[in-house]
Amino acid sequence: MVTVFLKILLFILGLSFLAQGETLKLGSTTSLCDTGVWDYLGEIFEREHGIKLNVMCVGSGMAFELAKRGDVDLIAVHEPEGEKNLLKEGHGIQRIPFAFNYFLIVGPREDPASIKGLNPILAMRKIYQKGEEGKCLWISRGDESGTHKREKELWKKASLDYSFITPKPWYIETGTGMAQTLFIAHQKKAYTLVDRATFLHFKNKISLIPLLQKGKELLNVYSLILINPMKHKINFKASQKFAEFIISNAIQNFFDSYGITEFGDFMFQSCAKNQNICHARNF
Amino acid sequence: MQEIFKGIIKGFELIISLDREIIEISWRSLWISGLACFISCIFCIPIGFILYFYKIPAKGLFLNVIQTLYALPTVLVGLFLFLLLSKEGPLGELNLLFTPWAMVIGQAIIVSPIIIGLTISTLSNLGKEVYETALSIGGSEFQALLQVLREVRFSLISSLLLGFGRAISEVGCAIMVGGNIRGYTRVLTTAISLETGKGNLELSIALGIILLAVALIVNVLLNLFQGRYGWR
Repeated sequence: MVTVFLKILLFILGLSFLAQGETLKLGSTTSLCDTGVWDYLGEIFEREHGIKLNVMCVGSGMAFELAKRGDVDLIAVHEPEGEKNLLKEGHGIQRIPFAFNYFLIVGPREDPASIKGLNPILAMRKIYQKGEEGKCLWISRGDESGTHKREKELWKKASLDYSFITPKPWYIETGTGMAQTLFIAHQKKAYTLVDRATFLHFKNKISLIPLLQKGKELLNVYSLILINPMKHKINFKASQKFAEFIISNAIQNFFDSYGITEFGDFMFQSCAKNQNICHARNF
Repeated sequence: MQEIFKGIIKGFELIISLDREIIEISWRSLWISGLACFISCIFCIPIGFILYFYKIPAKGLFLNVIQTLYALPTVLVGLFLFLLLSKEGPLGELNLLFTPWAMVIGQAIIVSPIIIGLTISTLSNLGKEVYETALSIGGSEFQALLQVLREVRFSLISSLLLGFGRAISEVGCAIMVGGNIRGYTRVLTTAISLETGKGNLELSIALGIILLAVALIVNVLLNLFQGRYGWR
């Protein structure tokens, strides 16, 4: 009844273009949205399959929530623990890694904790030490996002108790998105963990430089999770088509070259050419 | 500092160049917030009249609650509506989540307290007098109320403008129940938050300027209608 009324209203307003054809609802983590890939891929996908890709950009926590409620047809996330749980609970039916990059630990050019070239775990310990001496600052998202979860993991791997670190004066929680957090780190000349795409976007606007950009602890795999059609009323056919589309050769090559013309540096590496890396986190 | 100027210049460039996507987004902002205000007025002006003219138990409490709701956080409305419209929620069957309609509903809720509250305060200025005069010259109760409406219609437009300002500038609810889908539910405020996240600070400022321009146009049009700056 309500929908009929709304459709009539739509027609009167001359906005009938709003009534879309077949759509696919993708809940994507914000960091992936911020790269701009969905704008490109959505257009190609619609042209090839006649299905409009509707992307909801949300924090990873919300992406999982949408998946559990069946409000989206599939999600694109980068948080292995949460992905594992979603599959275990039966809301997700299949995990498809499609691209990866590495988180960066960025900091001021002077590098007061001299972490450049160290492995991530040693680097975290060094930052802790120098932080205690009052020589450097660390900025954290503090928002339970995928990036924040990774940061907590790093402290843990460095055998440092996270709840012990958070009240420290050198440890600053912003509670905001990656862009703002990075900008605060720039203003305070502090260290922070950042995803590659956001850093490339801001590279020219900030004085921080990447000090660490490799190491399996920093590996960041982006995956699609297909939602279980037995559990939720969703457009499963379309989500399967989209998964096939993403892992097709053409699109995998697209990921390898994405960002090079705009930023002079690659943003992702495709999973097709690096199967061993994408599946390294034992799933 | 330079970024602010660049942003302002870019804003004017985008307005002049009539960028298609920007026009679409602006138009969407305009009609979603406009429709929300319109719907809200249909319900809330009569409610304001009832609350003012009729004896209602605990009226003072009502008014306090309504005025408190001026401060209703938009994200809270978004969250509430999200839970209602989600597939798991009681209204999930309607499939309204992540559509412009959900945004219209949300914004209508957000502006309602303002419209009700300001209707009442408008009426307390001269409502009673007009009402009683109309009754004393032999009008029916309905005619009297109609006469009051006619008298206060211009003041009501001010409250409408305030409501519209709140609706078109809110982002919490729009992003929560609209989802910021490109070409479908992306409005100016959600686009600003997206572009800020992407680091396109100039574009964000430019979009902000466009939002202000849209608000300016609406204000000028309604003021013209109101006759304040009439053509003389």
